[in-house]
Amino acid sequence: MSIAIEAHDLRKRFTSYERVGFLRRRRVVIDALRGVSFKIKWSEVYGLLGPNGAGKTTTVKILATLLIPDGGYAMVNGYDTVREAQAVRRNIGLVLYPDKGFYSRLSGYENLVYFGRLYGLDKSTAETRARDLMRVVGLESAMNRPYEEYSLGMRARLAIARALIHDPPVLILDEPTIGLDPLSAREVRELVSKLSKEGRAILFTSHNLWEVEEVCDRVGIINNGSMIIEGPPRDIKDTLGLKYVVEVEVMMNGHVETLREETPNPAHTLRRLINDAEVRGFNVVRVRINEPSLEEAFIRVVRNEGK
Amino acid sequence: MRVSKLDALYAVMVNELKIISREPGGLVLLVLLPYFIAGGMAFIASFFARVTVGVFVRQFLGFEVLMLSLIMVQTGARFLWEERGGGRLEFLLVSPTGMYAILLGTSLVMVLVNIGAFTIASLPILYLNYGLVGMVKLIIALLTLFIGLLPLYGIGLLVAGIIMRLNDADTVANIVTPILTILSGATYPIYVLPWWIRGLVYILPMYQTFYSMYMEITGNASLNLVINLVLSAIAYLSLGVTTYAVLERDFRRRGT
Repeated sequence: MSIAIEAHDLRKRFTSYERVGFLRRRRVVIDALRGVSFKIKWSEVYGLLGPNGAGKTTTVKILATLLIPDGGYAMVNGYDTVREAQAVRRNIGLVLYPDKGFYSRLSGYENLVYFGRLYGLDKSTAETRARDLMRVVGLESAMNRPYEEYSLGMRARLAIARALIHDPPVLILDEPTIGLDPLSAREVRELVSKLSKEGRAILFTSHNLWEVEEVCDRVGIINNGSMIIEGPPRDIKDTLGLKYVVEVEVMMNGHVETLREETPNPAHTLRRLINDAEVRGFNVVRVRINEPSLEEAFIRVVRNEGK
Repeated sequence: MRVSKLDALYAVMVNELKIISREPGGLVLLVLLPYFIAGGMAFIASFFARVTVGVFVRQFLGFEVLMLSLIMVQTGARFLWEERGGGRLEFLLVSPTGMYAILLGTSLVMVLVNIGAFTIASLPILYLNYGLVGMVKLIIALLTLFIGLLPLYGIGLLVAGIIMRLNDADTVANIVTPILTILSGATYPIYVLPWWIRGLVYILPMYQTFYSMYMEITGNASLNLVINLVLSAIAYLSLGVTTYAVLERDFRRRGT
């Protein structure tokens, strides 16, 4: 089976209450998901993007069996998240809050061993695995320190170690780098790339768009509970008609001028600009091609959606 | 390698013991507090000793069962609430170990420590009044007590489910504690209570448990009492497990 995760027409509606007086309250219905569908293959890192409240965490919680969808279905490694929830739980590793979710008085190692045992590992296997993972995530020297003394970056790495403790084939990482310093975030991204190369399927959500672009093979952008666009980052940018910016700096009458042009075909434009400069007798000092970012794509998609 | 639910239960208990013992003064409290409580209970019960020794023993057992009831009914529910606040509940819910084993393991640590303290405190009293036979009977009475803990665990699951539903632990605990205390049959002489409260005392497992233990120790053991306790265990466990399952599913549906 080449599909590791499948979400089909997922729908979820939440009810909350707003206070409208001392005792009275008003019922508010929120459509968190309005038919979200996507598939993730093995060895693939899939980025789920969207503004706050778009439905990312709701999707993650449905896939992790924490939420029951109102409509549609989700499958993880061939198991239905509602009817075969126990089998799904054995197949997933979850990172939900990188900064909490552990016992503060226990050491990082003790926390890992405990969660390993809850995930069905015997004592010696859990201990061996915890020790190995502490090394993998770079916490070997802090393994016996209490969790409450861990920095945010260390906590995030421990959260990833917990997700891996029972060696699951599927990883669901909900904003695993949020609040991390650039170095720690980079280490997490490198780890994610390494894990996908091992054959695992990874769902990755983040607000950091260039990070998603760097790590993810494919991306889905959701807004207001609906999937707006999906595909490899490059394809999404092409589909949206985002243009490259070609800049050629030339020496003109003793000072530097910049020739700048937006184009869907940067190689052709670059050749033409250099030719023009040479024909006019200018010396080319420097050339630069700025690729459109996923951030631009995201902003365009979300803004268009709002109109 | 996959292991049994029993192993996971043991892991939960060891983890809980570690957490309690690492709180400031936690280990001291864990080891000594139950003895102080047992001593206090014996002191209060000793007022009844002016009547008869039998009344003293019954009162002492009644207090023990009441205390274990409060632990059994509230620990799991409070634990659930703390796990939710600490962001750990989701990880317990997505682990293949069921919440039933996790909640039971969490309650059992305090239960075992308290039973140990009460047993040690009971030994000289029983030896002085009933001789060696009394001590042997205590062992049988403790087995009865373990049967009596099962329906209490059922009620504990029910309370845990209600806390999940209402998103509030303190209010529920504040309501449950006095109700359990009054209906335990240990704090008031049953005959002074109105008939309908007396009915509730007989239906709930606390009175059944300590009365069975008392009858065992005083040499008036009755199979009927034990059968009643087993039936009570089946009924309350079924109620607790079913209600918790429904309320946990509701929690997964609501998402908050």
